[in-house]
Amino acid sequence: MIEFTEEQIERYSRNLLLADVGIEGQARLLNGKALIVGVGGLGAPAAYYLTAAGVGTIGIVDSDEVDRSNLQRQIIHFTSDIGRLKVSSAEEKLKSLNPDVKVIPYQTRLTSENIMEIIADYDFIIDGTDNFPAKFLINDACVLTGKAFSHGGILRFSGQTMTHVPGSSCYRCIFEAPPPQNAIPTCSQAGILGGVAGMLGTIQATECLKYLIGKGDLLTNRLLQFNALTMEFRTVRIKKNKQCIICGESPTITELQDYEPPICDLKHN
Amino acid sequence: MIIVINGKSENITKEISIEELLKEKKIERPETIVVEINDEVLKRTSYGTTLIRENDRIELIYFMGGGH
Repeated sequence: MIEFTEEQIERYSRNLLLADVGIEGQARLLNGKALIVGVGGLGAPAAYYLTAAGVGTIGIVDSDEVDRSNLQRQIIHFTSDIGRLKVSSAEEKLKSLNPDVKVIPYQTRLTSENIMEIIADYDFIIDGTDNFPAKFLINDACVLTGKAFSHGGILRFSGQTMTHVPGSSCYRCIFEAPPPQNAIPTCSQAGILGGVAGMLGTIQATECLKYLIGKGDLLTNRLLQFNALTMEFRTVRIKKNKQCIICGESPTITELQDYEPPICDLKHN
Repeated sequence: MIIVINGKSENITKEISIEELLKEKKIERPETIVVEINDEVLKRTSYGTTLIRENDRIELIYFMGGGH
């Protein structure tokens, strides 16, 4: 059992007051390891809340630099960070927010070559990526290695998220394969309201915290969707798909593959 | 007959297939969505042959790829 310092008892007092967190839950958070893929619209708020809550080890993966157009929603990056690596900018803020947390930056794009090694050490993975090749890669790697993860997708005023744990339905149970290239607009093409990214990123962070403390009902076997214009939230039941090509009865995917990212996305995320 | 699409009740006048429903809903590119009927994901190849029945619960689930 972790010995809490006086500073920690004060810092985490609102967590400790919660019957479902308490000393034991806080110790689990401090021992927990979360990986955030993409420190952008989803990853920025997620990283903040996980760090503030005292998740002991937080990995952040991103290969990009901060662009002025990111600042409308990627709240971990400031105007003075334009041009800096996103992982460096994020690492600095997170360490300043909570020195208890060990932040591990990975300045890279996830590929089938590096993902297994990077996720191996983590308890929970947050998908905050902005493209389908990465979303399918994260799903596949987590399903194949039995890791828990949160899928997140946003567009314009809408968001969707589901949580996968070993044995529950996966992203491919719904979406078998990526859509045709350029069939779905990206946020850089169609826009995204900054607050909507924050809403979804904080839901993903909350799922991670619940998973680490082992309390509540995760968004497993269901997909939460919302539209911020109508402020309607809906949860769609997603049964484990027996025909799922990675987690079904006769999977055809047994190893990782890389889908080609759309060219237009490489520069404008 | 009454069916439920994305949680909302709708009245359709005649028996139609999923393919026809998508046309009616002006979803021009069916590959951009997933259709679930009564909690089961439907294969895209059976949209033309799957007829909608009274009280079916249909979900049209969109891909969302954004995050950054």
